[in-house]
Amino acid sequence: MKKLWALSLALLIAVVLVMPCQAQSSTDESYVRGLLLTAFTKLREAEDMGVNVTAEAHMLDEALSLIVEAERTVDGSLKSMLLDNATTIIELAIVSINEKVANAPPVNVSLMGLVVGAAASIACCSLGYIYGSRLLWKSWLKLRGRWRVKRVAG
Amino acid sequence: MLDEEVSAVVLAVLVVAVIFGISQSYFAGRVVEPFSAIALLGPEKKIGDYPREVLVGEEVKLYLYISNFEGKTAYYKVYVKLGNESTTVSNESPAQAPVIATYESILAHQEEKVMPVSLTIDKPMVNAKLIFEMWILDEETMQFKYHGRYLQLWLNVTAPPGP
Repeated sequence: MKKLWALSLALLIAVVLVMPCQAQSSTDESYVRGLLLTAFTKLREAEDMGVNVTAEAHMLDEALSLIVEAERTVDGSLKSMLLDNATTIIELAIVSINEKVANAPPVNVSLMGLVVGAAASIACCSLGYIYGSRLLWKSWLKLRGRWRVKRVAG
Repeated sequence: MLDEEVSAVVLAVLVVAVIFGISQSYFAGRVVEPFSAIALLGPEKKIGDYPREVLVGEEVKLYLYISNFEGKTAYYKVYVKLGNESTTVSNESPAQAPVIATYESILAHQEEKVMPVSLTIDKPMVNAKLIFEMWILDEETMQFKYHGRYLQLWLNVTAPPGP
């Protein structure tokens, strides 16, 4: 009876030890794919802000190739190595994207500059239209006001 | 010399120039007609020399070309499906056939990629239709959706000669 208990306990321990390993190896791929999607979302957000993320897109494509290779391989250690490499590349890409976004000029400022520039240009055009000719002739008079008509012989 | 009519014309020209300049700077870099392309190359990485007759279990070697002109980085998935004469595929709906392989790539705008394709078919078929469908990641749902672009290759798959 004791032997049976010991055997059951050993079996239970073995199952408990093995199960998380299996779960981990199966979730690793989905975890890395999830991380890739997160990085892709960040990349697209940065791209929409006007940041050049071509290098990071290449990194994500390389990581994707490694994930696909890992999914096709049956060798556990090779699979793990490929997924680790993919994770590292994705994490580096995320760091790089974050750095680029932090160093990029805020979009609102450039948009505001555009609006202010447009308003200033239109204001200048309107002022020029209203006062332009008056100003021009005033200046002309200031410059040439002292001119006198001279009677010429003949 | 500079009467009101001339001023009005000058003002109009200036306003048009300002609006044009602003619109140009605002729309700079935007793609008017975004598109993606998919193509199939033969075993020599050239258009042509596509296999027509293959044996069951024989490796079919091809190259898949995809390019991105969507104006943004895109995540593509190409599903290879094996159909028959009656399998239909169009720009609107993908083929209802089993997927035998998948190829994926993330491409920046104005980039292209050529990927080696290696396929085997495990049953004899007459007029088998090898369909390559392009799917793209929808950023709102984070799910792949059919992008309306596809290719098809007709094959006769014969059983290998017996011993």
